[in-house]
Amino acid sequence: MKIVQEVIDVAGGKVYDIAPEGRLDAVTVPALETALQDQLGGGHVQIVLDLSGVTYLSSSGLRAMLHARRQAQAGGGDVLLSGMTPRVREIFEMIGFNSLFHVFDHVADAAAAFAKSAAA
Amino acid sequence: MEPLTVPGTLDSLTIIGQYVNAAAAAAGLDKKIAYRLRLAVDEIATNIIVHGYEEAGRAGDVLVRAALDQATLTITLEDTAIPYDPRNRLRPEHIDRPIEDRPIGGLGVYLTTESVDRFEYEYVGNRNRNIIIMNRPKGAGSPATG
Repeated sequence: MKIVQEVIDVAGGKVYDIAPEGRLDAVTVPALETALQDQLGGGHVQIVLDLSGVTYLSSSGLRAMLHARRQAQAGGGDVLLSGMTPRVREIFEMIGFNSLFHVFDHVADAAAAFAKSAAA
Repeated sequence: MEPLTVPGTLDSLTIIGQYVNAAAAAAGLDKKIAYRLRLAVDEIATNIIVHGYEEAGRAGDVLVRAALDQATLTITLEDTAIPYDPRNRLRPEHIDRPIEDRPIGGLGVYLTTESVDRFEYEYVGNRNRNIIIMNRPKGAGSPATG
């Protein structure tokens, strides 16, 4: 699976944008977990997970997000989501994850949310 | 459709998915319902492969069968892992807990049961049999399309 990563400078720090593309299932999730761990393990706890290129999501992907979120929050950061397609959103709503994660339309909106919380 | 037998490894998820997509198309399911069906089968197959075979140090196949009637499409998955009823994951003490605290394996089973019209399990002839049933759209079962 292809994963595009970008560092975004915002007021008060850096935001790490991780954008997996394609199917997020038990086969492909380890690659995403590695990308998340690379950042979280390095103390980069302000993560935006851009889901706009994700065509399919199973519980393996949901679990990876949950673990990353816990880890980021333990370090004083968070994992924010952006660009969810309707099908991915439906799965989120089915399982109640929409109340757990902050979801934004665009990466820039999520990054701005980090900047805002840093300023607060 | 001819049944599909694949090795119980994660690599098989793709071919299982393709089989299910073909069955969904033959049943005339719309794309949204087909997506849910694929998700449900994917979750059950992943559980069989990861928990039933790999973590248990066992090897075996997964048999996938699609059966159409006028009203429903039934996908059956069979495996030779130890007897395991996924519905046990749906006990109230699991469901009532906050999402973050639920047992890890429960998420997939919950998604499965939420995604499909009916989910059943039986243990027959030393095989786990997971049965996933989707209602077909009205009229899809006519001779012209079915």
